[in-house]
Amino acid sequence: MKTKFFKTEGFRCVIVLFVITVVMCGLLAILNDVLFVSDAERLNRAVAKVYGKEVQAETLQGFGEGETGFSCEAGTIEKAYCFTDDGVYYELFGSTGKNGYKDGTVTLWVLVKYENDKPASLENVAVDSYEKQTLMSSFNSSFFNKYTSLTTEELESGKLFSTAASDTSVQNVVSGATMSSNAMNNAVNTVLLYLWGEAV
Amino acid sequence: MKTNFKKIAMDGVITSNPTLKLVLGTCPTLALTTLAMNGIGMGAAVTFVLICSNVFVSLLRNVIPDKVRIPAFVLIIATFVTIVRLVLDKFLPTIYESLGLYLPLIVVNCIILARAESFASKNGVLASAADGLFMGIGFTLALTIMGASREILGAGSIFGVHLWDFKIEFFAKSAGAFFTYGTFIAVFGFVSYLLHKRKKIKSFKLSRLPEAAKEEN
Repeated sequence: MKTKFFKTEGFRCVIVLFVITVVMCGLLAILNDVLFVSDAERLNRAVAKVYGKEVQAETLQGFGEGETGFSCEAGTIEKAYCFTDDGVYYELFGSTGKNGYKDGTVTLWVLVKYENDKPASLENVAVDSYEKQTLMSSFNSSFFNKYTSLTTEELESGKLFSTAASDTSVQNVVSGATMSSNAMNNAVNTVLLYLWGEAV
Repeated sequence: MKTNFKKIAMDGVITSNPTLKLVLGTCPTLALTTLAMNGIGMGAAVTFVLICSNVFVSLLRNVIPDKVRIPAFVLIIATFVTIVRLVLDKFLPTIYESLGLYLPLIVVNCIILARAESFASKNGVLASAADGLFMGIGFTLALTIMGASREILGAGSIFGVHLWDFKIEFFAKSAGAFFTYGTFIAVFGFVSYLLHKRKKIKSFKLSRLPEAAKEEN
């Protein structure tokens, strides 16, 4: 009976699948170790993407491992870093905006430039990742200009970006992508709210 | 049996072009051909997976029982897709990001499973590797040419290099993707038909020639 079972095709199928799985898992485990992208490497990439060159950045207080970060109705900030380059201080936020298309979210990198210990401008805004969104490639530099053209006075006065429903300028830039831009506005608004210390 | 590499190459690139003749892998074709660079990235990724999975399937073709061949093929294909993802994430993060969701979806790409099932599981390792390579080249060429035309018409640029300000938004959108794909299939089909007809006429004329003239030809 026992010998018969080991000679059946069913047993052979199980063994072949098991062996293939084990070999492939072994191969992937080795490659995963060799090709692992560390957090530091990802941070350098993000900084290079937003700032244009790689600089030594540090984690902002409150955003380290085990710390809660910042969240409000508009979104959450899970990653935040700071660095100084050519005597100018910058803060970099990985902000996720809510209420995108089909409840999707958009994560943006927002680079804030400081002058006289105060936020002076949004130096750059770039897309990091997106979930459930399909129109992201349509957003070009002309769309992000509305964030980077924010003046110091507007920053100090507490300006927030309006949501897509009332924002007709968004329709002109990317037809049909109003909900995605809504999540983007929320991501930037989250950073602005953090800068003012006004968590809702 | 001697492997006819010329036939495999012609099949992969022209006669059985996976995108324009067999209409396989339509999902990434429609979604990623907004830019020519996306076509090259996706094509290279699919070519790598095709070659590796074809080689593995061919090597194991006598070991894998018929009843579990599909799950076994999917396991092999998924492994190589994961390897492509790891490599792109490490060394080419820009392409990794631009391909996005469509990179893991290579696992269920019909071209790869179809070649594993219809070719690699019945042929030797070298022939299977060649089939993977030429099918991949055919797929890459189709995607890149489609991507280039959509980028030129829809964005006024080629490989990210700005050409002119004139652009037709339609080609950058989903409807433009369907239109371009349909046009390319029609043109490719028409050219193939003409070539086939010419070949037929030539062989008919040859068959009517006397033996001595046939040898000269």
